[in-house]
Amino acid sequence: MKKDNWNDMTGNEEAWETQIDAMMEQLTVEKAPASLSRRLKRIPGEERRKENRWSWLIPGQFPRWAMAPAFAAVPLLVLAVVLMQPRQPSPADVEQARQDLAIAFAYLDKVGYRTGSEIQTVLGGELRHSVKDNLSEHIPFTEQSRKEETI
Amino acid sequence: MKTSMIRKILIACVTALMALPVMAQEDALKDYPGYVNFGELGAVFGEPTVQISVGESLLGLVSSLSASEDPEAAELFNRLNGVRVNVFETDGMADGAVDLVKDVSSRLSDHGWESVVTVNSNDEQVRVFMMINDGQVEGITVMAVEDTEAVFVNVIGSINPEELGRVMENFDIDLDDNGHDSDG
Repeated sequence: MKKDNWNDMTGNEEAWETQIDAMMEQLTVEKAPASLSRRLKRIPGEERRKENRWSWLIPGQFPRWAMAPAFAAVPLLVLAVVLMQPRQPSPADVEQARQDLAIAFAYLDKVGYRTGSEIQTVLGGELRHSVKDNLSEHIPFTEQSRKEETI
Repeated sequence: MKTSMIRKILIACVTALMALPVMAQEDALKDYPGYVNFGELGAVFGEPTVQISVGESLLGLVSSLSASEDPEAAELFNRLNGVRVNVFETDGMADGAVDLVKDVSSRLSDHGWESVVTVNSNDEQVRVFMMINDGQVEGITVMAVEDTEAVFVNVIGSINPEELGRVMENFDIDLDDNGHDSDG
């Protein structure tokens, strides 16, 4: 009796297994929606990018093509910083600036004198003084100009 | 091939960097109301025979060095921001010279500069402008173009014309034919 029971149970289990196998074979693979597939496919790439975003900061991770410009940029940056620093002018620079200012003022004077002469040509000597004296309030005619006009 | 390309790029970068301080000085002056952009003078007159651009830092140093011997000049230089001079030698009135002077004059008038002197003849064009704000002269611009010479001067800063006249007297400089100090 016991043996028959055992045989029945074993037979049932085998039948179940056969039945389950048959059902499994009948199952088809459900196709995922296209949008979901695309999203899933993107994930490995995005993960790689996240990992690589700052990897160029790690020495040894530079792409080889970037090494030459990177090395060239270093002395250029140093040079730029040095050149951008306000340079203390030397005594020679200051003396040159002094002479440049003198020349600049001489040209102002020259133009003032030339303008005065033009006024004289147009208005005549007497009127020139009255016009020029008024202008002198604004334009720095110098004594040198006055000396020249009397010659 | 690649090396020569990199070398060319490096040379271009170094050249650009060398020009930075000069450009920076000119750029610093551009912010002042007394600054004048004369436009492309070289395109009309060619290479300048005299080109002067003295910035604020040098003016400050000249001012401090002049303090003992000429306090009035020192005071004037201290209040100036920049002095720019461009002189061109010309052989006859250059093509486009009159138009350039009129163009710059028109722009200056539009920007609030006051025309002080105008000489308008066939062989001579002279314009003197002043930028006056609240009764204070902040810039003087002189353009004088004639047959043999074209002079463009821009004095930037707080200027008292009478004081400028007195300082100019003390400089007492004679220009030779090339526009250089004939004494020095």
